[in-house]
Amino acid sequence: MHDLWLLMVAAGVATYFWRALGVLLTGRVATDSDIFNWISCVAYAMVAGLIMRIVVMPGGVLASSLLIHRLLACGVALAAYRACRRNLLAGVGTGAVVLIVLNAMREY
Amino acid sequence: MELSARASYLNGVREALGVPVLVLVAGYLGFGALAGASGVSLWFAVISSVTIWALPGQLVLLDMWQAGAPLIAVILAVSLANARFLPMTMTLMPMLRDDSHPTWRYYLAAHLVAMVAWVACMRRCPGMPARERLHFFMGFGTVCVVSCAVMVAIGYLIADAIPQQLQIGLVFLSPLYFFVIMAGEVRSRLMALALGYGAVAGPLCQLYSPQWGVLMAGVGGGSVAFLILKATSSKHA
Repeated sequence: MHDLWLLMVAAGVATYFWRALGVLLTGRVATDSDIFNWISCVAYAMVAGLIMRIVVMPGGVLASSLLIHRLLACGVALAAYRACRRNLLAGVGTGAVVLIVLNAMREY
Repeated sequence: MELSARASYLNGVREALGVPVLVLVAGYLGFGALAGASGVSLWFAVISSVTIWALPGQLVLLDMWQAGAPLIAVILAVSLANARFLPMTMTLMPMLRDDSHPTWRYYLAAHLVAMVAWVACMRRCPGMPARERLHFFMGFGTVCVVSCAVMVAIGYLIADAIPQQLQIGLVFLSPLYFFVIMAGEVRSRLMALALGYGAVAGPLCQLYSPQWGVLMAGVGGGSVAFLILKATSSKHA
């Protein structure tokens, strides 16, 4: 385990790097080339991978809930999001409540 | 009549207070809760949100730190998770450019580039005089950063104070937030392929290596998606 603050500074620099590079390269390079598509693919895949892993095999407090309940919560969140005209807060909030309720019902 | 820098900035502030901030609530409240449950300090959760200002990378950082991943793996993964900022900044900057701004202002504004402010400015700025746009964006972005920092603190403190039964829901907010965005807002074949392969690769790579799994899933799943995209699009061309 590393010093968390050192990690934060490094992560901050590594993130700002892309933003600064974006300012620098603006107007000089086209944004629809292969390298940009690859970068987008990797970024999307990484986030999707992390989120699915947290849903399927979480650590911490989430590990005490059931996989089927987490999957149901995701499904309901998506359905609620669509039903509430793409209201993210409504969708996500509903999903969280579903997980809490399903998880609490296990004990009765 | 053109607005002053101050008035343009305040326009951005006003526009952000409302739906844009509400969109961010679940993600950052959840991040605060997740951070609280992971054992990092409140100050770390808040300050890292302001200095990194990119939720996907923050989740990656927290997750890999907990897994005890090597420093280089964490930095590569965080950086690649946030690499979308490169094309985003490059498409936003021409919109903000005006001869009245010194160069450093663009580099300051670049730190505020993130999904919600980017979408809002790409939509609103074309209808605005060029001089006002950067100030508008700064006002908009500042509200997003400050309100999210507050939400992280609130999420952290709530998670700390409530029983585990309820904590589960709060900690699950951030994953749900991204799940809904990713499953509900697929706008291109590139996104669909990358999200799909990433989603499959994530759990599999975790089984292979808990410390490098996130990075492997991103680079592996993303590259496979990219190659398929390239192979199939050249066939149609």
